[in-house]
Amino acid sequence: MNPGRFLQSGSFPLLLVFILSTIIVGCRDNEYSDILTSGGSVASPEQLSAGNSTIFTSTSKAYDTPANWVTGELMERFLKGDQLYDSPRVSGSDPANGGLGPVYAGYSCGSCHSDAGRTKPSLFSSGGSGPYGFSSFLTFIRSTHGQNLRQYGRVLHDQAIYGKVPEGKLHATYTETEYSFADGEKYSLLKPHYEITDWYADSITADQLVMSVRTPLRHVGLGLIMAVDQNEIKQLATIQYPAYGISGKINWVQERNVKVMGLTGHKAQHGDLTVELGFSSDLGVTNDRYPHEVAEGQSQSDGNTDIQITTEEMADVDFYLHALGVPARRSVNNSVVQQGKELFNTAKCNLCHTPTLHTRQGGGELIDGSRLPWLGKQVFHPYSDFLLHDMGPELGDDYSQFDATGDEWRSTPLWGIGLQEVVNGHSYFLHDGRARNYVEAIMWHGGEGDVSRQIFKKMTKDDREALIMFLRSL
Amino acid sequence: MKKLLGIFVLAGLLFAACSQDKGIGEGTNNDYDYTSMLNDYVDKTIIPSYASLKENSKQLLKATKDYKTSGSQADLDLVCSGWKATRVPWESSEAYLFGPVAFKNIDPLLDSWPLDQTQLDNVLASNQTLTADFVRNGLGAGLRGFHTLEYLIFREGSPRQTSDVSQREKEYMVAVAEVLRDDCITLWALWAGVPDGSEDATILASIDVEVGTPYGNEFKNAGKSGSRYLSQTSAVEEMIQGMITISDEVGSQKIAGPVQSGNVLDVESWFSWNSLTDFTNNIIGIRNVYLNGFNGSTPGTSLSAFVKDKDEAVDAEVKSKIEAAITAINNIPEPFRNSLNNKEKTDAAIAALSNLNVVLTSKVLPLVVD
Repeated sequence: MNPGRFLQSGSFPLLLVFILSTIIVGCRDNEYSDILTSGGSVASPEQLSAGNSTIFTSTSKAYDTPANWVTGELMERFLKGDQLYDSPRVSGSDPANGGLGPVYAGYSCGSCHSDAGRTKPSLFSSGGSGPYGFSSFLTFIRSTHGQNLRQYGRVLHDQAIYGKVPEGKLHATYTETEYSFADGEKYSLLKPHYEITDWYADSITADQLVMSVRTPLRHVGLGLIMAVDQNEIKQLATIQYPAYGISGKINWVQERNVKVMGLTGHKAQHGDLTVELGFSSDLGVTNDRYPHEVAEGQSQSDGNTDIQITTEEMADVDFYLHALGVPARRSVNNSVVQQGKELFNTAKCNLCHTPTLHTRQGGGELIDGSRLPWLGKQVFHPYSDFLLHDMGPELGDDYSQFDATGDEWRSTPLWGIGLQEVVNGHSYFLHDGRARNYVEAIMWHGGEGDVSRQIFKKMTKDDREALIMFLRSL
Repeated sequence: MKKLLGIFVLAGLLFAACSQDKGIGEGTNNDYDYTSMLNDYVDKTIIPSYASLKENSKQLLKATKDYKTSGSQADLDLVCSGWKATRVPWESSEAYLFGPVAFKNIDPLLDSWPLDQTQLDNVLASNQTLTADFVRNGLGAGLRGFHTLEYLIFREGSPRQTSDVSQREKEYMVAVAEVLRDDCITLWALWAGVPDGSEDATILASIDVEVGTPYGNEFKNAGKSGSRYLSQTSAVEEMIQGMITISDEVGSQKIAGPVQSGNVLDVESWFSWNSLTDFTNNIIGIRNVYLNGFNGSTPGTSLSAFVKDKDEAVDAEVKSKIEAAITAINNIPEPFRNSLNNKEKTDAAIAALSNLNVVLTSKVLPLVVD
């Protein structure tokens, strides 16, 4: 473009348009120049984790704060969804919050996703399915033939209302092995061994059972994830890095009998935010999409045939999840953090934990068909490609889901990870929480993550710490 | 010309936007030493409130045991007053629902609403031996804590008639009160630590609670190695966020929720008619944090003093809006469950809480964070 043409045209308004557009082009990396921090400063591009859904707090509410575009009626809807998410369901037919059980894995969304994060797993200290009879683990179970087990469903319901019996109890034991970094510093990894005992009906032996133990995921940025430009993900899936043994793959899954791109869950096994499935399968609350009671056809069925939560209510929860803000990055100008960012790239972490993606033009859509244009046309920084990667047998558990094999896992989005200790009080990571901190999480990366692990292993202590400081800034 | 000027101002802002590059924790108040404020927040506000909660819960347990033995109306009345006394520090502590109370799920275990009345009736109708261990390990959050106990001891805002209380209910009452006491001791100990060999340590050992490093120490060490808070600013932001969250929750959920739904079952603490007292104590909790004290104790180095130093008018505004919110809540006629249609008073309370929320969010928070 030749600016002189406008200057010669004598068209003053056009000149102004040009000046403004030049400035905006100059700000290309910062498309949200009007976004202010809590202190009233203009946010820098590096801080903006999720465009207009970025929120500025580093507190325990960092995962549970609405995006700034949530105002007025949207805020009312957000609060309704928040309340339904957190309020414990009760047994019986109370129209407001009934339907719990007869068997269940959680008593509210928030019981496992405390403050929209991940409730601390309890097995580590108690050796059973948790103190107070509750564990935030979700255990997928099936037969070695790939079928549901007789008298059981897709997940183990280790809780039951009074008068019914939990389906079984998960037990974990750990083998600790010590390793060394190149500089001689020691670290150790806990390898878990899982067993289900106290089966309420048929006792299933280990050789009849395929199981996958999962911790809850952080509910950070779900709205952006659902609104992602899927062509960008498809493009990422075509890129291969043979030198590093990295090649991501899409998990094509079935939702409502339609093949869609899997984006959520530890194996990208869902194409939506699983609000309906969660109420049904995890809590035992029947709904229009899953009208069959959780223990239907089994000996502990309560005979319920009523719908226990409305689609409107579930859409409010779906809205709440879509509308949660994403915490802005902290300490972006700190020199150690900046060094860590370089090292993150040096170790090739960024090839799967992709820093930047974009949402599609039209934004998001809820389960009731409501449109969310605010989620459209955003630049966001999830640090994930949402693709499956083979992480090797070290992390594998033989439990396949759609196109994902037992060894394949979705790159976990890292945004918000630096606040997990503040929000949820722990730093257990990976699909079953076996890593007790950042270092262990990195050192568990096998398969396609092995090259990164080896690079990290050879780093100096200062460099390793800088890389982790970068993760803590996310 | 005015329009043109506007456009240039806009252009200037856009240029400014490109050049700004400040991170959180690198702002104008980053150098301020918040150590004594954080110390007093932990030592003069949080821990004393949890200590009061713990001691009151012990009295409450004793009262339930006395009542189970005597069956007298006077003793049931004492259980009810003990319940209300324990409620006071709990509700004020809702101005800081972060840390162990959240990490250990203690908030839902102590204060889940609504209670699961269907299961409760089934438990009472069964032959199950009703012990604390059974309540702790065998029943979910909707069958323990304050509101389960409330249902067992109150009706229509008054202590129940002892002649209506069954032996099973008395047994359940004691079991729930014991678990509630244990949760209160746990919460206090996780913040304050527990002296070896003390009665509290023995109780915690019996329920397999490991206290570890007191959370209070870690919070006071914000910004230093080993603290999950990367800066003191983040910890002070947590203080302020706690006040913002509860001011919002009281207005938009605890009051506006039932007013909009018209459903008395949405009213928390409706068996005891203690709702408005609960809400008032929530706001007193905000006052405690702002002044850094607990229920009239000598205020410590406070957020109030910091704000006053920066902007005296803001400090005065916060104080006046705290008092205005308390007054507006108290202007709603008791009991709240019968005032859901009193639009004038409930609107006024919601507005007063919103005003408090706004001043904390838009005037206090920016004095601390960037």
